[in-house]
Amino acid sequence: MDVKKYFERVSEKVDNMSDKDFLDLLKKAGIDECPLAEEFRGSYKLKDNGLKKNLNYGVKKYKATNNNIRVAA
Amino acid sequence: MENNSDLELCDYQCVCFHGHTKEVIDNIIETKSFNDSIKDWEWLGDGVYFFERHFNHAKNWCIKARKYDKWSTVEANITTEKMLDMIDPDNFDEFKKITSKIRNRYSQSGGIKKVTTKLIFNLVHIVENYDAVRHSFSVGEHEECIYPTNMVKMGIQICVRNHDCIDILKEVGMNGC
Repeated sequence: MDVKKYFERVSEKVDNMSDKDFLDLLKKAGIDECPLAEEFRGSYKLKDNGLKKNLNYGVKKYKATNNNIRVAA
Repeated sequence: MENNSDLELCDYQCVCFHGHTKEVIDNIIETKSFNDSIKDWEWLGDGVYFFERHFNHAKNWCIKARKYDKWSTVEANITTEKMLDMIDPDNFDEFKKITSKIRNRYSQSGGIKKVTTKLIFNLVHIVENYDAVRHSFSVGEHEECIYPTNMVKMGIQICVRNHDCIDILKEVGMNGC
């Protein structure tokens, strides 16, 4: 099984790319369809009712609850 | 840039289930072909998604997640020697490393988009291709876990890139037909 070697190859190829090639690769992989980082965080918070509810209990509880939320991203 | 990797990854053979609307499943059975899922939420990248081994995951996905009125599933054998198995902790760590590398480089170049796992798998596949990727997920909400050990219901999803790995067996578990 060559999974480690597989990722080493990927890593090496990414390292050896010019910035232009790297950005072209991201484009081909679909970066244009990804949400803006800031927008993504915003909607993540607003969509989660449990998180909104727990905001009322202060920072400490907010952090504990936030750790338990699973997001597919 | 796409490369046909000569590397052997993980050997894999398993019965898996793909759920969808009855209409789409009928089309799959008739044409013996699948369309890749390319939606934003496809966490393992673009490809054909299956639930490993357990029909009920596919059924519940149709009913509870997608809320299809008329649904069905396809049972298929997935066979490959080029599976990226993300359940293996070593593989997971390697994937995490390449994810950090890509995110850092993108960020340093002034990128403002959210670099999702879907994007990373798509990128990795372009650089050095593989047939399929598998990973586990927890089912349902956190409140449904069993205390005091936080025991959760788990499932495994497969995202198949190379359709030659899919051998359709039969349609199972349709409703409303």
